[in-house]
Amino acid sequence: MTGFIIRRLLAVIPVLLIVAAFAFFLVHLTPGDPAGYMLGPLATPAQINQLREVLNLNLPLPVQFERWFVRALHGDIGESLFMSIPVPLAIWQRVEPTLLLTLMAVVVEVLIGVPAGIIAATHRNSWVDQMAIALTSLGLSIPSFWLGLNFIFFFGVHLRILPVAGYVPLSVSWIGAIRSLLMPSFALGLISAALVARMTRSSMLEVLSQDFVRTARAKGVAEWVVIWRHALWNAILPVMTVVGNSFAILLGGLVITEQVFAIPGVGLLVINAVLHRDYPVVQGVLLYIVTLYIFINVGMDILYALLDPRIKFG
Amino acid sequence: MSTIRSVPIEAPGSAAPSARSTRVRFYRLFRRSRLGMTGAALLAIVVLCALGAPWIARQNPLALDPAVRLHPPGAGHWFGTDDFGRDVFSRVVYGSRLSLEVGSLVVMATAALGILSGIVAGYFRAADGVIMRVVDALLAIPPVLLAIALMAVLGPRVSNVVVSLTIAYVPQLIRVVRSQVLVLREALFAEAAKSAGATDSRIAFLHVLPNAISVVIIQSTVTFADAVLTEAGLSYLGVGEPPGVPSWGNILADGRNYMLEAPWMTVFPGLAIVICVLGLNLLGDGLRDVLDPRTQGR
Repeated sequence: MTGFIIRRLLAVIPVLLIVAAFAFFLVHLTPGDPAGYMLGPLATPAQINQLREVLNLNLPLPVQFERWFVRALHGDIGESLFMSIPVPLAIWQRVEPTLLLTLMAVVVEVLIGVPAGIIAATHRNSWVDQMAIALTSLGLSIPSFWLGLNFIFFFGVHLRILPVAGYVPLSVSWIGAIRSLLMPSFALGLISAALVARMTRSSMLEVLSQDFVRTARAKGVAEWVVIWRHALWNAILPVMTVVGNSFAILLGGLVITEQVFAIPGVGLLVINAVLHRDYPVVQGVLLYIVTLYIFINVGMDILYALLDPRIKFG
Repeated sequence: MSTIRSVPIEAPGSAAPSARSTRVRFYRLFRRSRLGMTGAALLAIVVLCALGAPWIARQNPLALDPAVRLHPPGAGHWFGTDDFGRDVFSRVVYGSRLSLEVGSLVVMATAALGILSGIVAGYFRAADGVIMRVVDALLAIPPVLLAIALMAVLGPRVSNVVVSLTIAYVPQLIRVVRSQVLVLREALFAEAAKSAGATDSRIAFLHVLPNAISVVIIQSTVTFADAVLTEAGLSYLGVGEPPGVPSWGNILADGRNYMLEAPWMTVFPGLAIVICVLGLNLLGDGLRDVLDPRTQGR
């Protein structure tokens, strides 16, 4: 088991290296001089030259990458050009609403997706099942930001029961924080709930057709025990993979959702950085989010292996 | 060699069908698929709007008319007007052109790149390690974030949206094609071709590729749907097409500030996105039911 975990962690290294290289060379994809591009048309040659010095742009590319990478390993990925604070600090200041929103979206996704999938599977081919399938197709086709806009209009403007936008920090009021993230977490979570529901349904259908389920029913186990105890725990592993993978959709969707609800999180940070050509911040967020996502997936793999004795660690 | 070329993969025990009867069978099965037909019908609406935009939408989608600013939907303007007095119906109809244009270009680019890299990775072990490490790294970046980061450096232009979305969505296709190729290269027909003296690249492109195409088609509907969604998201954020261009995301972005006075500015472009993406998703589900050998005959 330890060997498996170590190998899984070692496999992360090349991926992280390539992502780091990608984040670094991204800036060099800009047409012309990155420094001039970042500072805009009004910059003086002296300012441009100063920025070239700061960013080590006068050195050969491989040397630049090496320096940048060594510094990045120490957690130093430069300073925001726009806010004049170190990038990790800029991200740290914005991390709370983003993490809370991701967490709430996953809760929404699981609490709606899993029961919906189970109900669809246990009522196979009935109108409930058809309805569930139709709803999941619809769910996968709605842009989360448009769903968010509709939520704002309905719950915020029309019914006036939830705040329209913004975020109340946890330190001020945790109820306020949760209330302010309720609509965005549903806008994000409902979309991935469709994926989770689909996977739960097909996984449950497979398990329910197996012999041990028939045996359980034959010996008179109550139907709800068969479904929630016997079948669900055997069907849940593929669902967990989908939940793990859905982080990619959530982390990407965050950027747009935070903009819709004006939540001062990492997503809003990166989009403002893009609009202001604040490349160190774009690089930093890319690196941090990808690292987070990679380790979430490694964690999922390890959990998967721990829960399913059929998976060999060899 | 020509005899080998027409050897299809077949289920054990089944008679080898000719190419024509396979096609007839495909159409028959697909017509029976309710999901697929619904999807095709929804998509047909969007395609008709895109092709017939000048005849369907009689008003210029760019024409400003301050006199009819923020007019609600009515006889003159079916979907109302926006904050500059532009006809929302025309803008939504013309928006379908942009979404389908971007989506189909992304699908063509990802298919070309995905097939080539997938086959090279699946067939030529030397290249496999390099290609798959890069694919793993790109897959580790959430596609929307990857596209946004690329747009940040490339600048807001339609062609750059296509490039970014292609880079964001090609890794999934490469992975799918590669795994299909790994299975097919061990199939009997590949072995037969090899024993007849065919070279590796001939087997890969003439024998393995045609049999991997159905997987590419299914994955491409998913890519198309994702591309339309992400393209709308990018232009909503202001990092997609330049502002003013009638794209669904841009109309939504304009409408965001007028949600109270003019909800029609956000309702209609959103519905258009849902119809287009739902059509593509259902079409993909229908194709999967018909083309995927694992679900065939059910």
